Amino acid sequence: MADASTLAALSDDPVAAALDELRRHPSVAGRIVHEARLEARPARHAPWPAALHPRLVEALRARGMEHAYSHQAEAVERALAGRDVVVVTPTASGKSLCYTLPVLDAWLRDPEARALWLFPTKALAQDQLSALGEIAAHLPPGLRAATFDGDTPPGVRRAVRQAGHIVVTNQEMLHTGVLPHHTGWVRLFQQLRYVVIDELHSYRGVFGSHLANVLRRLRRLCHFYGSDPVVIACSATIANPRQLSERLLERPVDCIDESGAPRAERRLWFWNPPLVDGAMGVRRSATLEARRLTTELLRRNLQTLVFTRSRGSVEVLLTYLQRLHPPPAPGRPGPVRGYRSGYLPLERRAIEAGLRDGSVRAVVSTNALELGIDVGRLDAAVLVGYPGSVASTWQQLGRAGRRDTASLGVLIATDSPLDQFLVRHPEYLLESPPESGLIDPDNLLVLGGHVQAAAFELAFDEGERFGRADVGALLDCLAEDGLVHRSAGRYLWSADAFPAEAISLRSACAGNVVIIDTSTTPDGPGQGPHGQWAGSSGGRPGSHGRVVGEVDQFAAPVLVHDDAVYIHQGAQYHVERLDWEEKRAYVHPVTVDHHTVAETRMSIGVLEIDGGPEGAGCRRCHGEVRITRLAAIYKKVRFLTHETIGAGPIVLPEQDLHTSAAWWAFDPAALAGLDRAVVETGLLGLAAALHHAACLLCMCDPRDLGRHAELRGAALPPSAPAAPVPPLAPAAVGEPVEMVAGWRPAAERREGLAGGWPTVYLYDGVPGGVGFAEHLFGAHRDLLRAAGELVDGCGCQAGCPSCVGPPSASVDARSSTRTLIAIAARGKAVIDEGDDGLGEAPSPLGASASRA
Amino acid sequence: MSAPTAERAAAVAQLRERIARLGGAAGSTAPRPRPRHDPDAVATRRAESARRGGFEPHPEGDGVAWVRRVSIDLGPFLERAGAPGPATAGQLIRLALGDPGPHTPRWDASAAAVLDLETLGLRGSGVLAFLAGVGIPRGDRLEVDQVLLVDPADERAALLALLGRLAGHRVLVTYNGRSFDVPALRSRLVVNRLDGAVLESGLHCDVLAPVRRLFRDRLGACTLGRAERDLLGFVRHGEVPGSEAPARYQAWLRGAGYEVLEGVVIHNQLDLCGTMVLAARLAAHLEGDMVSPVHPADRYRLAVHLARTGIADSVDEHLRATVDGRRGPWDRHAAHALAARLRRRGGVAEAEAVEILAGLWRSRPGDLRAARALAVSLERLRRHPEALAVAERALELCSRLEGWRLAAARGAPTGGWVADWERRRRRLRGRIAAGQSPPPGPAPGAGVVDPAPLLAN
Repeated sequence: MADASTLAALSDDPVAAALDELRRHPSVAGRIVHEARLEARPARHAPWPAALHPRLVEALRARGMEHAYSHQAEAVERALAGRDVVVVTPTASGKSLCYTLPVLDAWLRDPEARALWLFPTKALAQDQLSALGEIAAHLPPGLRAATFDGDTPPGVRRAVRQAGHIVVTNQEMLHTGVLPHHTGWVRLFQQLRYVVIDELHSYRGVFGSHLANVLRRLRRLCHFYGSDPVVIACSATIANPRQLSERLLERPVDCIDESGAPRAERRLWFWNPPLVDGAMGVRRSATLEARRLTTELLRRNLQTLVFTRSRGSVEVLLTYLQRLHPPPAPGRPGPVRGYRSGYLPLERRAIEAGLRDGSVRAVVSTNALELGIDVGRLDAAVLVGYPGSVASTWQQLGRAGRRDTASLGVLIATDSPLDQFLVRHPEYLLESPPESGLIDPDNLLVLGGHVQAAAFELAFDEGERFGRADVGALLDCLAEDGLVHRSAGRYLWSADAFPAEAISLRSACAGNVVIIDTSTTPDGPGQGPHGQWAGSSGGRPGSHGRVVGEVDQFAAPVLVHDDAVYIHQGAQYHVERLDWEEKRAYVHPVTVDHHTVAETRMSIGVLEIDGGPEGAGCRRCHGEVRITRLAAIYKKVRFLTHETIGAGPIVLPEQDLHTSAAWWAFDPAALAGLDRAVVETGLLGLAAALHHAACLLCMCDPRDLGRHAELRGAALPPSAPAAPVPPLAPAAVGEPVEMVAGWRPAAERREGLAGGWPTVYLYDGVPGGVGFAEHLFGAHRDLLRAAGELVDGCGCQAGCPSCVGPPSASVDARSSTRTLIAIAARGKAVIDEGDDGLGEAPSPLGASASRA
Repeated sequence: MSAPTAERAAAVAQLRERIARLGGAAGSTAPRPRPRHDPDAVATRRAESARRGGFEPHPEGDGVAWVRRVSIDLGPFLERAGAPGPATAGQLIRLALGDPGPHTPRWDASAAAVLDLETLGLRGSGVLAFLAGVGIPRGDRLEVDQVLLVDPADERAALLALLGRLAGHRVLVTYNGRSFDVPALRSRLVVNRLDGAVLESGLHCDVLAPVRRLFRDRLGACTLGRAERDLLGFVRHGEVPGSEAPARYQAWLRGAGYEVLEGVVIHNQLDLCGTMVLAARLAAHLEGDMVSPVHPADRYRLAVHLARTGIADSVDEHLRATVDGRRGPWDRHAAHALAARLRRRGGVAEAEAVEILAGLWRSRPGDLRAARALAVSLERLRRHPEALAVAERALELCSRLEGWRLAAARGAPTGGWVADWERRRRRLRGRIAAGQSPPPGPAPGAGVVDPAPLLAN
């Protein structure tokens, strides 16, 4: 239903004209490597579902909403019919109505009905609550909706427990504040009709695995109190919303992914800053490019939102822009503002309002503005660097897009491999979303903690399942430890402990190292009103420091060893001391021109093969592995030039990580004829390229996934779980050639490729894993294709940090990587004309080579 | 209950090995030495040792509740504590709720039931109450029933036994039961699908509340142990501290002998007795037989408590005694409270209040709260020139005080001190100019305040 007025407005669209003009501007034209236009799309309307309460339809009409968008009508109809629903539509397509309406409908029909809304952040919860108030204003009085989170005062908490119709909370509060105290929430649990989970895509990896278990506990309690709530989830666009939500909920879910919301024309520019150093692949700073572009946009009076990747760079870019667009008077708010965590709530509300009423012309923000906080619709969104996932990219780009005028989204690439890959392959963003949200609710470490919490909440019956998980052995184990008491076919919690508190939803193992800022600067980087304080529990007498963050035990020796320069959200900290026993790292902020890179020795032992081996020439598997790592020394590396300016020893115990991995082992026969140096460099390059591509496919942060390449790797196929990993004497490390951080240790060289097969591993950074390895094993073809395109598309000569790492003295890193990719794809090194080896089954030649 | 089969044991062992490989499960406690006893044998041993401690099995619902019954003569304790006798139901109500007035129910002492729980843990719905004591006063004796969870699976039976013992008693007496014992018990009732109406139907006298109101200055942390020691002169013997109770019960659950649990059972019994004796002593305290030695704060706190609970008889007397005792800071608190009461009565009483307030302000010019009350009273008594003098002096003082001191001055009116005083001064000047002041001559309470000494300094 393209209404004529929209089209007419588009034909003489001032924004489109301004963008056309800007596109031709000399300082812009050369930098845009690709421009995509998403055509305008008219609204698809549908009548409000007949089952919806008439008062509610009246209220909607009173607010000017005569019809629903098609996705809203469908979602509401299914939810009212008692189906679990996940709505996957773009930013600002009216998703919140999809869950608000069924909840209000239930309340209108039964004032005792209750609903639980889960939002990943407190700010979002507040924002949604005020949006709810606007509709509720047209309804009979009496609706009580309230947030219940860490900021809720005790007096209000009591009232919310007793009488809140809609309880808006977050997963942490549900986990420690509601479920373990369920007898105080009897009314909520008895009358719970709807559970709303917004921003579903943010629950992935360990965090999602925890949420799945929190939901298992919630369901168990609902069952006890006799309710069976319908779940309505909303998600940004990801590849597998249905799979993710079904894994989270362990029930069939209806997936609604056709948006009926209208959209004006949108343009996407892929912006690559010019090369400064062609050989090394160093490009002009993305921040400076953003300054130039934003200035041009402001000059054309286009309201702009700039997303940067760290809080530090928000302030840098803001400083640049405010110099060019100063406030009307000193001390008065100007047209360009910053927005990040650490700003006071009132300040943030003022900026949001300024964006809506147009008085603020540009905002530089971290991803704090990415989630659905209402700032109205803007003319342009500029992303300084790829935000880390395609879903986030679309969320941020979606901030621009008015109903009747064109809008612009720009992705400015940095030097990083992923950024460079994306500007060269815009189809990854523009075509079907390649990312999947992966979780593993049955990760033993995650599950184990939640089974304790669940046993605390309600006794388990023998044979009772926890969601889909069989937890009999786990409960027997807890009974042996004296945490639960088993008798008469039941497991009763019988320990003097509050188990939910011991589980951190953000990590799998309990032993995270807490990073504490010992300086007392009141407004150090990232200081926020909701900042946590270590307080008197600090390990050092009299040390009252702010908690900067946490790193898991496995990463700590590499990131926060003594004398390390730790970078957190763009701010540098010097590590004074790592207290390994207390699991605390004491740091203070510094500004230095270098960072530190730890060199580790690592070995991987395969414990169990869960899938594979498949393929010929190169055999791929996935399964359980043990990674043993010892951080030995660190280097001080100067920024930009990457020269080493110092080094020191690290004295810390060896680390074991038991996790899942996918690996590619090359049959020496298939490598026959290749120079040893080529193989070695190629393995490194392949590990790097696969790692970059895997981060795209798994929607994960590069730190969540580790990589490792070994010249003498897995001897395949192992007949039984591998022999124990040898002790880590330097000579027995098995010639590791590449570590996580992308450096090369001075490992001793041996001639020939005796021992195991040359192998590249990608492993899950979380103990026990959350499913990346299995996914990568299954998505082998996509992975290799993306890795191949990454290598092919790089503008460097023989390898650079943006693709496969720097070339060695004698070997072209790109071509040797390409050779190994070809072998991995089709079992032979020769690439036939027009065949990238990924379209067809392995050739007979490859198969015979591997049998040889 | 069957012993785990070999298959089951193997599954557990395998799981343990996996958890160990992963580096230990989140939230799990460190592995502890596990007794490898047959659970059935352990259960039998527990039953035997419970019997040895005096617990007897009683069928209750579908299960068994183990109850220990003892009768304790509170007479010697009451005498030692200086209480004339056990608290009557009326006294308990007075203690908890204030003066019931003419509607004092004529219940005898056995309308009360005292409750105390020993639990595993302190918060959350999963906290198991493994030992619950209920005491019913009969004359000078306390008939105590203690219900022990010999097997946690029998929790429902134990709760039923407990509810049966509380039913019909219309005053529930506890120490800190309002925030701990009753909610904890309610949680367990919900989890076991039992009706908790018994807990809600009667009156609840939580003795902690009056102890805290009356004696917080001398006790600090108002634990039952400290109240017994400092108010009753008791020292406990033969028990274990409450904090050890969970670990002892867990040890007993896993096969340790009764001697491990005995101290906990005695602790629970003493809690019941201590609570009842304390209630009796507090009842006497409210009636004027104060706990000796009398602390300087006691009279003031008693007066406040009596005034708040609507028992007005001796409030003024206690306040005057505190003022006369000249022990800070309570003498000033009491003077303020007394002046406020007198002002409410008006007339001659208000004139006395003016005297007290003037004294308060004179001795501490920074006490703007006293000055404000003084000015208001003077104005009400139509002694406008004196009131104006107070306002002018107060404004002068405000101008000399540093900002933070002024902000910290207690009792600030909305809008701040300066604005308040200026408004008052304007109004008083207007009234004086309009001739609203009475002609010079004796006015009620006239001549009490001489502005001159106020303005000196």
